[in-house]
Amino acid sequence: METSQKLQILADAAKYDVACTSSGADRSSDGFSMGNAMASGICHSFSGDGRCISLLKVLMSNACAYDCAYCLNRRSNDVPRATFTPRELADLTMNFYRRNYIEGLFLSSGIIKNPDYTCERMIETLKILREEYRFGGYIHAKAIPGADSLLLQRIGYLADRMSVNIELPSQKSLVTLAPDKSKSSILKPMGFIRDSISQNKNELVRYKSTPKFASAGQSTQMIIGATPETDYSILKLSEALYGKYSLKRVFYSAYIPVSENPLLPALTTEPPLLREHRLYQADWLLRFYGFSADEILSEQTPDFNPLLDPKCNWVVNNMHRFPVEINSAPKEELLRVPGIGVKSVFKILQARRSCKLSFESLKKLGVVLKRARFFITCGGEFDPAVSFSPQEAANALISNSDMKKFRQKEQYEQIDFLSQPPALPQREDYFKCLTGQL
Amino acid sequence: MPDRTAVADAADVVYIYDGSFEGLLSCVFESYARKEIPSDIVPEEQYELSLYPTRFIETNHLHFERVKKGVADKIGKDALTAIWKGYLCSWEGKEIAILHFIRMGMRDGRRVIYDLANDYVGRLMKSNTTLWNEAHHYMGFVRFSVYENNAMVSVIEPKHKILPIIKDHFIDRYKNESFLIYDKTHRYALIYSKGRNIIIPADDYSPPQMSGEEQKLHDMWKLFYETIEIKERRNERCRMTMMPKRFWSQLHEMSGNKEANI
Repeated sequence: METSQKLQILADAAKYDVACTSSGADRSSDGFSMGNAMASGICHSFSGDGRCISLLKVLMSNACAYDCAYCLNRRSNDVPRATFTPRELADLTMNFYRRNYIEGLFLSSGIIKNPDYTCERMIETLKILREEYRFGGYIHAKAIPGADSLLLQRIGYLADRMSVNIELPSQKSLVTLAPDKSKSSILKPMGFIRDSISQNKNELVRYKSTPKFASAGQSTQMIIGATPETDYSILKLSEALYGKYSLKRVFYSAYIPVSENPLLPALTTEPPLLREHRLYQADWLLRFYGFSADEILSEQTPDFNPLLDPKCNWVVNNMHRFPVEINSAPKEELLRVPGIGVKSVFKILQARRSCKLSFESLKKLGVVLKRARFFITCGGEFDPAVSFSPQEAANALISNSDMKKFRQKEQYEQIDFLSQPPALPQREDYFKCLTGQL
Repeated sequence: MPDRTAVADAADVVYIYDGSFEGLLSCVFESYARKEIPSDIVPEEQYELSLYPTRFIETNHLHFERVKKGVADKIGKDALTAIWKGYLCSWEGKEIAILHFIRMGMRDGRRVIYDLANDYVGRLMKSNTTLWNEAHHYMGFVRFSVYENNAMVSVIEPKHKILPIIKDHFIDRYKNESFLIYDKTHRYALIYSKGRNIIIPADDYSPPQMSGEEQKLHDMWKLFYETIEIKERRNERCRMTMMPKRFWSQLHEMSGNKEANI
């Protein structure tokens, strides 16, 4: 089979893996190698679905021995199969890298024969790249659940980032849909990688020449909407993964129906993109804004508000903490103002060292006031240009795109509480449900 | 030190310089020497006849060095870098903004770069971000073609002069290779080979014909690009935001796309 044909089959089989980031590793050339890695990561292109293409994302092989119901590559599915030889894949990576198409390689694989054999093939590829071609770019490798820990360790020394996919957010769902995997077979390698990374960090302090183990950390991915978990339980899981397993990223992937199965949503189901979007928003709140999962959702309200992003939703429920004074509020409080993000907070903190800030100067700093102006004061005063009608506040909080998504994707039943005939609701109605502490 | 109040508001004169960074700082020197603030400073390329009297400012290396040292000592090295980057970026009224920024800084010292609420400072710092954003885009969007003698060639059309900004990145990445990046907009090129690099003006450059093997690799990349998209999630607008159309003509994977004009 020609390389280009294999590329097509194996890229197609890998496309549902979300992670394509090349961030977290910072390495410059040692003078002999080809390539470097930049901490911020670099996007080299964007595909038609708007996702960043940073790495050559392929499977080593899609001839999988497992039979997970949600997966396109399951044994029982009738699709063309292909397997790269290690040399072939390494050459392709180098050729793409030279043309500045990619930052490096994202290598995952279906299970060829058994987990150990699969790992060995992956290691061989990475060895050709790192040792023979002296490739200094980014490598993201999937840990294969069930593989020997010695093999995982060898991958860790060759790759910048490792990941084990959680796939489904609960043990119960795993049992029903992925009979060959179990919670422990996923968490075991995750714990092993975590321990190796922290051990390696200690060694690095002592001996500078120690080879680095997965220096960009580890990440994971789960599928949203294939199984009945609530947003709250998913978010709690993410929080635990960030805390307990020191993950760098958790990725969420809206389930796109790939097979007819009574256990799965029907083939006609639309991927829950809005839900995925909300999860990413909440994920950011966890990682950069100092929120905890319990502040964002709770047992009583276990699902995201389709109209309000998680931050605005929190604000609506915590009005007593506003307004916030721009010139004196600490960083943590500024971060909680709707419409003000990490970058704006940084600019505000820097600018207020040299002068007192007014609404005019905030605009010049490039702080977007559309949402924020309802919740902040400058020198004790509200923005005189704002009229405080509830209507305007609602307009500011609900973004047009969210409204559109909501109208397109959600079923009418879900907005039944508006006690409306099944006509499309207007902004005023959204406001009613907003003040009703939805 | 000249007091700002001692200077006439804006003199009815337009400075013209040769478009180089040295030339721009020579204008700043001239403005101090003559105790006047010109109403505008324009590079000779862009100069169109105006009603104002003009003064051509000869680029003077000594004047340049003096302003450079003055800025570095008085306002700080960060400010000097910010001015240089502001110069590399293309934006309306950059010369005048830089002049005012330097004058404010010479008067008030280092804290001026934090005064983002000031119009001149704010726009200068914003131009730095704009420049960096485009440079970062091009770290990803530069596309090399490899020729028989192993030389790598890329032609780009950036809005701003980003070659000096992306230089270190690409040299570090392809340390043992030889490459050329030609900036079609500003007509100059970065050439690197065997540990040496040079940025030179080049009026008209077009890369040689590529081999069949090379074309095959371009096609493979295009194939990968098209395969990796999840069709169920197609989102034209998101792609356009992340990768605006002005880049498309330079990207191998977008060749043949109706919108890209190759």
